[in-house]
Amino acid sequence: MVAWKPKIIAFTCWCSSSGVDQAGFEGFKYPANVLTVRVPCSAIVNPSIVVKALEEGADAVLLTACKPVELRKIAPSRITEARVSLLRRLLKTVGVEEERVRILWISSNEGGVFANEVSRIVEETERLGPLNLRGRMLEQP
Amino acid sequence: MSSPEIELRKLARNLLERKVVDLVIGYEDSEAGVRPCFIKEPGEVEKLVWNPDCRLSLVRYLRGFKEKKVGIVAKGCDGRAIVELIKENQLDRKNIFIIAVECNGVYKPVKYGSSKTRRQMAEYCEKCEVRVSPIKDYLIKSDEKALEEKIPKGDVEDLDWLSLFRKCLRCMACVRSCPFCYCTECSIEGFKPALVHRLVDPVELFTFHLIRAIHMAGRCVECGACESSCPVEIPLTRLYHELNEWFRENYGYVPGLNLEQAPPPLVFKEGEKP
Ligand code: SF4
Ligand code: SF4
Ligand code: SF4
Repeated sequence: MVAWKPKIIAFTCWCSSSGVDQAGFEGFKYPANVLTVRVPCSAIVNPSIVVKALEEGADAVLLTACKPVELRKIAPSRITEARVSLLRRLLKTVGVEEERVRILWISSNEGGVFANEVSRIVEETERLGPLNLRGRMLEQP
Repeated sequence: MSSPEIELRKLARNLLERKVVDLVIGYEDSEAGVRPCFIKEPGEVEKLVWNPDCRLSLVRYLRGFKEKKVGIVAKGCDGRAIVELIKENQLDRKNIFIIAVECNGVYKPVKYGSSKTRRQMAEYCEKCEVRVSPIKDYLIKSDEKALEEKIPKGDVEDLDWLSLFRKCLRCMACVRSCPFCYCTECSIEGFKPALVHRLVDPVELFTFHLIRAIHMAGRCVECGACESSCPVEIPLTRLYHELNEWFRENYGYVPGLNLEQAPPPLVFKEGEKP
């Protein structure tokens, strides 16, 4: 049997996507089970999409965003941060581990940070085990 | 007949006769129980009733009468819903005459065909701290004590939410009865490509309920209309209460308490540190 590997979806904002690219050119290794989806800004990621990703089989969802302090007057990442925090509370309430949704602050030059953090997240998700929402929702009482 | 009911009828007659309002939305009795009624003539006011079965929120109907002056019978939670909808620019304060009735809690609905005669107070009413609408044009005081019969409370995390969601029929009664679900295109129903389909996949019930909970966070006034309309009795209000608690802890915000406080996190000051 093939060993189970977690599937992780990372929504990366424009700026942190360059960080992810940088991890690539500088030769940092990170696990291949992280699929990145590039979005214009982390605040465009509607929490519904995160929930949908979990439903469709992701074991964890990661959002990467600019640090709020790096932005000027208004900080969209703060909205993202608030949404993630709310979503984690909701997941915890319905009985899904809150660690399955995370936010990472990655700037455009932090390829190394991205690679390290992602490897850590993959390990932690492996420890949590598969989410298996489909199985849990179909289970007969 | 209770005295708040007499007072309510007198007030409604007066308002309609003096043409202060074009119609009054209230509750009336029917064979199937208490239901909403729309009173346009002073002669019809004798239909109005007020009792602990008046549980469904009437606020939902206000948006249908935008150009008219409407009188509405509002409990505490209904008044809070009106406040929150005014903040969301869905209602115009000057077109509404709020007949606030002091509420002592409402009964849990009885299932069709059930022979239970002892009635219990709804669970969300026990948590309620606002028994009178925060904004009002007239107040009708209650003459009774709070309902006695209590339900033993469990911890919200003790519930097995996934198996509760599994019972859901996707009838959308919760969406249709909630004062805040006014989206012309509901993201749970109408989007293409759809996030949730009407009949296809049971795992989508998880998405359905989480999305609706997110849309209610920081807005839900815990009026229980969704929960009371749910044919399979999913305690939805308890789920939304958890998210409201998050708002209370993080921003000190409780929906519908006053017209001044803007809903977070939409507002933050320029230069404010995160
Ligand atoms: S979600 Fe339910 S309890 Fe909350 S406002 Fe809507 S109908 Fe009322
Ligand atoms: S569930 Fe959400 S999208 Fe649908 S009507 Fe309610 S608030 Fe609107
Ligand atoms: S009213 Fe109940 S059964 Fe109907 S869609 Fe809402 S939660 Fe599901």
